[in-house]
Amino acid sequence: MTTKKLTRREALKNMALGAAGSLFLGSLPWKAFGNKSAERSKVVLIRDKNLLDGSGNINKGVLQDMLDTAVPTLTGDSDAGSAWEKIIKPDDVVGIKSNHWSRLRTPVALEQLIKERVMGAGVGDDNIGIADKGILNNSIFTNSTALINSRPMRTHDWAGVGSLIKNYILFHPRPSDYHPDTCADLAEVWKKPMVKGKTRLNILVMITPLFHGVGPHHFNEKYTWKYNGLIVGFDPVAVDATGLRIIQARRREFFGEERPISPSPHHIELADTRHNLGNADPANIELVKMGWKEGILI
Amino acid sequence: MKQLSIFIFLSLLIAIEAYPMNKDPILMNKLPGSSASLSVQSEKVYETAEELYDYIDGGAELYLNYGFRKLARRIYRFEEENEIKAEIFEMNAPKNAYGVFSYSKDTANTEIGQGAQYLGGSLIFWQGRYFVSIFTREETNKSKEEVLRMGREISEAIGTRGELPAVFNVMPERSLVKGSTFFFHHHAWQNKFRYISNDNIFNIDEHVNALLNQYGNPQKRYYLLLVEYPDRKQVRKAYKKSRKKFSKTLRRKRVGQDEDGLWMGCDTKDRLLMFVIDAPSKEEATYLLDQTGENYTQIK
Repeated sequence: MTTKKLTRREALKNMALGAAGSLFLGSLPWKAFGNKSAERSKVVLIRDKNLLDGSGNINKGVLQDMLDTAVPTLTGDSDAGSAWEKIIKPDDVVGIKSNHWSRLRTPVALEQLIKERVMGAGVGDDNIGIADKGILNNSIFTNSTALINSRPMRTHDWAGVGSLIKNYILFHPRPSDYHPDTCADLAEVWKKPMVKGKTRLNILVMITPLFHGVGPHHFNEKYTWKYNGLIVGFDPVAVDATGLRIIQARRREFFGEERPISPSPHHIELADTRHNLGNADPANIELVKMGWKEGILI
Repeated sequence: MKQLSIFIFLSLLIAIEAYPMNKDPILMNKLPGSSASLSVQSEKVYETAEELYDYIDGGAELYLNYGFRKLARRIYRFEEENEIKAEIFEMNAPKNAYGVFSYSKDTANTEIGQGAQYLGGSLIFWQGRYFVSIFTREETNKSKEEVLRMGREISEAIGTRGELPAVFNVMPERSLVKGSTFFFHHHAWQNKFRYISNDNIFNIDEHVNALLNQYGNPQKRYYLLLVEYPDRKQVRKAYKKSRKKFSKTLRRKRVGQDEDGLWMGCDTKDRLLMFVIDAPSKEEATYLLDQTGENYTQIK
C-alpha cells in the first residue's frame, strides 16, 4: 500500500481543520452534514493496484488499508480510530446506506469494514444497520442519528449516473416523484427530516465503475474497468462531481471521442447551484490523490 | 366427494403458486420454450409501471417513456452452469421499439429482426413493435451461438415487420453515419451525441418525432437534428425558441459560424424543424438543410 507522505504545511493544515472540527458538536466538522459552506470541500481519492486479485475478488486487507488511510486524511487525523471518533459518537444510531443493485453493489467487505469502524467508535452492534431497500421500515434508519452513505458510481438510464446524492432516493416512499427532468432535483431528498443533517461520511466506490450501459438492465462487464479506487468526503456533491469527472474521462479514453453521458447527470451540478447541498465546481474542491497513480484519469 | 374437491382445489392452488399463470401467454409464447439445450427455470409477465420499476431497478423510465405496454421474461438454464435471460418488450408502436433499440445500441452489427447488436454476451434487436434482449451470464462460443439462435427464433415468432414514420427517410445519406439515427421524444436525450442543452429548447415531448443523426467521421462529427411536430403552429413556436436559445448566431441567419469555426444552421419545412450542428463548412450545413427540406416535401 502506497500512501502519500504529508508535507509539514499539509500536516499543519490538516491539524487546523481537525481542530476547527473539534469546536463543533464536540468533534465533528460541520460540512459532514451535507450542507454547502463557503469553503472548498475536501475530497480524498485513494487507489491501490493490488485491491483486486486475478479473479476480480476484493483483497479485504488492501481495502481496509485504503479506508484507514483515506478517512484520517479527510479528517486531519493521524490514525483511523481518532478519525472515526470525530465522525461518530458512541450514542449514535447509525444507518449505513448501501446500494444493493445486483450487478454492481456496494461490496459486502466495505459494508463490514464501515461497520467495524463505527463499532470501533463505540457504537453497539444493535445500533448499526446496513440496508438499501426497505429503509423506511427499518427501525435503525427511522431512529438514526447518523448516516454513512456508500455506493458504486455507475451510468444510469434516467439520472445519467447513479450517485451518492441519488442513493438517498429510497428515503422517499415514492422514488418516482423525483424522476421529472431526469432526476434534476434529487438533492431535495437530502432535506427530508429523516435525512437532513445526519450524513457523517460519503464513500463513493470506484473499484469497477460502470461507464456506459446497454440493454434493459444497463449492464455489461465490457463497460466496467478496474479503477481500484474509493472517493471519500463529507460533501456528497463534491465526491459525486469528482467521480463523474473520472467516468467522463474514461468514456473519452474508451470511445476515442467526446461521448456525453445521456441523459445528463445534471442532478449533481444542480445539487450545488439550485439546492446548495455542496460544491460541484472543481475549483471549489480540494482533491487529495493518494496511492496508485497509473490511469488515474483526473 | 367433498374431501376430493378440497384436495383438488388445494392441489390447484399449490400448482398456481409454484408456477404462476402468465397474464399474457401470447407475448410469452414468442420466447423459446425448453429444448435439449435449454431449460426454462422461471418466467413472468410485467404489465404495469410499478411492476417494471420493481423489475428493472433504475431503468424503467426509459421504457415507460417509449410507450411500454408489457414485458415477458424467461430465464433458462443453459448447459450445466450457465444461464440465459430472454426478455421481449411490447411497445405501443414500431417507432418506439426502434427508439429503445437506437438508445441502447452502440452499433448495428448483427442481422436479426430489423436491426440488432451483439456485444459481450448480449443480443438486442427490434422488430415490429417489439424490443428484444437476450443475455448470457457467461459468454462462451456455445452460449453466443445459442443466444443468436434464440434471437432468430424469436424474430420468426414475431413474424411481422414494423413500418417507421416517413420522416425517418428524409435525412440526406451523403456522409451519414449508417445506423446512427436515434429516435426520441423526451428532451433529456437530445445530448446523446453532443451536448446541446439541458433545457427543452425544441419543445420536445411525446407528441413529436425527434431524430438525431450523426454525420462525418469519428474525428469530425457533425449532426442533423430533425423534429416533426403535430402542426405548423408548433413548429413555428419551436423554431423561434430554439434559434434564440441555441446560439446568438442563428437569431438572424439561416446558417452561421460558431467561435470554433464550425457551422450551424436552422430552418423549417412544413411541420419539420431542422437543425445542423458542427458542420465542417457553410456548404455542408446549407446542403443538409436544403436536401432534407426537399426530401420532406417529396414524402408529403
